[in-house]
Amino acid sequence: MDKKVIIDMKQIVKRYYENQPNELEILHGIDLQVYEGEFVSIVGESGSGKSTLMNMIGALDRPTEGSYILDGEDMEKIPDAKLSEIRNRKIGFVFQSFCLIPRTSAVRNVEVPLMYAGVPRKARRERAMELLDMVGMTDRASHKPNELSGGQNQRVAIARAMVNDPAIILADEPTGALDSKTGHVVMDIFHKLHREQHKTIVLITHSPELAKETERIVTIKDGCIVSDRRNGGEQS
Amino acid sequence: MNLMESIRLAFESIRANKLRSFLTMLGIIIGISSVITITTIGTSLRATISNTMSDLGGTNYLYGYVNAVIPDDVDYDTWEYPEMDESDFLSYQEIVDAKEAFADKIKAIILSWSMGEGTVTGTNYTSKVSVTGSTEGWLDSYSLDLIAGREISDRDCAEEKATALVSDLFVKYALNGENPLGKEIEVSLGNGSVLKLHIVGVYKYDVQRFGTASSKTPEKDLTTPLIIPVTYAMEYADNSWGSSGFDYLEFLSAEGVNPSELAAEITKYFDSVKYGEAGKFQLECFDLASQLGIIDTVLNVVTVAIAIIAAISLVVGGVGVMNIMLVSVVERTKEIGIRKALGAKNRNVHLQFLTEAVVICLIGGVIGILIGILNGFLLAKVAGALVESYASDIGSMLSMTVRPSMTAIVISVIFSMLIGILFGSYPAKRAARMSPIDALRYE
Repeated sequence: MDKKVIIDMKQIVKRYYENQPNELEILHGIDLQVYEGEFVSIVGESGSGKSTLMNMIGALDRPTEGSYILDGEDMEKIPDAKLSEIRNRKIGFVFQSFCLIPRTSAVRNVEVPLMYAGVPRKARRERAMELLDMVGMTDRASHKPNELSGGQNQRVAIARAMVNDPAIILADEPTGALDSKTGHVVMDIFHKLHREQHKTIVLITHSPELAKETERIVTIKDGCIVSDRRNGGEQS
Repeated sequence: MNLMESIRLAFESIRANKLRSFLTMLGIIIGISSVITITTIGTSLRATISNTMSDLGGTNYLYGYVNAVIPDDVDYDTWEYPEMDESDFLSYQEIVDAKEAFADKIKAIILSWSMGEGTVTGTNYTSKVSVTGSTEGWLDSYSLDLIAGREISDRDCAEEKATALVSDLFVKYALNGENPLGKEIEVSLGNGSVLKLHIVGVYKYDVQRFGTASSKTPEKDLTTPLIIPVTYAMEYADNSWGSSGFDYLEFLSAEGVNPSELAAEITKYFDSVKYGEAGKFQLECFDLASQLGIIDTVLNVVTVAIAIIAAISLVVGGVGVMNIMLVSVVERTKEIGIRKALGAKNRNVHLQFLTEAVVICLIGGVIGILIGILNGFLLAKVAGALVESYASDIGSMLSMTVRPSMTAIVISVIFSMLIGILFGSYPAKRAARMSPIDALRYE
């Protein structure tokens, strides 16, 4: 396989309360490689450590031990102050609870990552509208999150995740707050991104059903990867 | 992500939370508006007083009176105010000498020698006048305008001429508006004597200057001053109180002369030529400018003192801002988490919350300034109206000038910004320090 490695994790350990009596090890040495253009799901029950792993992948947190190279950047060498820049450029987050900024219009929400990237206002607006068009939300651009349905909000969130053209889309239970019908609409967008734009997508979920839709399923249990297999056929 | 961006975000957030933003501003609004109200009243009062004072004579006006010198080692149980001898009064000649000695510093020495009220019977009307002997400069000392002819000159005084300066009202009623210059009039005084005078000038009567009569007196019944040379007055006055000199003088200083220095010099001059270094009497001399300065200082101190008390309410307002900002940071924990996840640096978040606090304080400050100016304006007007209705004489003399203090406005703007920075810093720091994971998980 000569595809570019986007996520390269070696022996990742995460411990909380280090050197204290209540020390807690959540991840016990994770090895994970995700290649460019892959659609991977990380499956695990709650408490399995998948959220902690997601925080590591998303550069929201640092591992206690082990090395992590994200799209060529050795995270160990990145100072704390630069982590936000890495998140801004390399990662597009999609959260279960959408995490849109309330009382701010959809288009302004999509613009947020561009603002922190220092893109001028006009270019920002154009790019944001482009992305809203991609998820079919152009006519709702000026609506605020509380004026939109869950599915619509999640589509805005995906537009936002894509706006800086990140190396990976990191989706944490993206359909968890949606009914199955709108959940499918959202999943279809991910499939489309994967198929047409060859985006690298990491989907974190507790649902084996959802995981079956992806190319590769990584199962995590008690802080260890217990299985990592290619999925026979992509469901679509 | 620059300052403009933060300001935009701040306005967005203020708009999104209108009521809360307004309540936050309220403390600042009240604080700033009370400071501005008080300073506006203070500066308006000062402007009014100094306007009125300079109307009454200006900063080149000085006055002096003969007063007993109180010894340094005075014992008030035994010390008595000395009797003034005839020789302790200043004679006309001595005053003329003084004027010559100070030729380059004193523009005029104004003397006044009252002869009481008199009447002039014209063709169809009898006008009342108050006859006063005076000198060149009388018009200036009252800030009156000459309409026709000339005023009583020093030469008139030196030659004891029977000349007169009359008011325009006198001309209108007693002389039926005829050309008065050169006209001879007969003034009957209370003691029965009659003065025959030639009119040499007419001045414009100003009811505010001689506002002793009730303002309801009809114009034609007003008693207007009629000025004659002081020497002529002394000559013909019924000198019942026995003195032929002066114990009260008024001066107009020449342009560019420091009046308070001049006051001291005049006192010194009379010490050396008349009373002696250790004499019993002295010509005590005062200048209006210094007296104004004292009033100004007192008002300043009072204004500043009250403004400081008002400023304390600003600090209370600032604490209110901090309080709300802290609540706001907690309430927007999730937003902070989202922003950080999407690439906001700590300093971006810090700047955002700090800017919001400063913008809130600035808006509050501007509203406060506007309300303060309005308040000051209304209160000054009310004060003016009250004075007018209770003391119409003074009221007509005081024309209330409303003047907001520019310094106070500038300081208020800066101060409200500082409050924003001071009380916004801590909440902003708390927001900036939040861990994105914890903040994201916050519901």
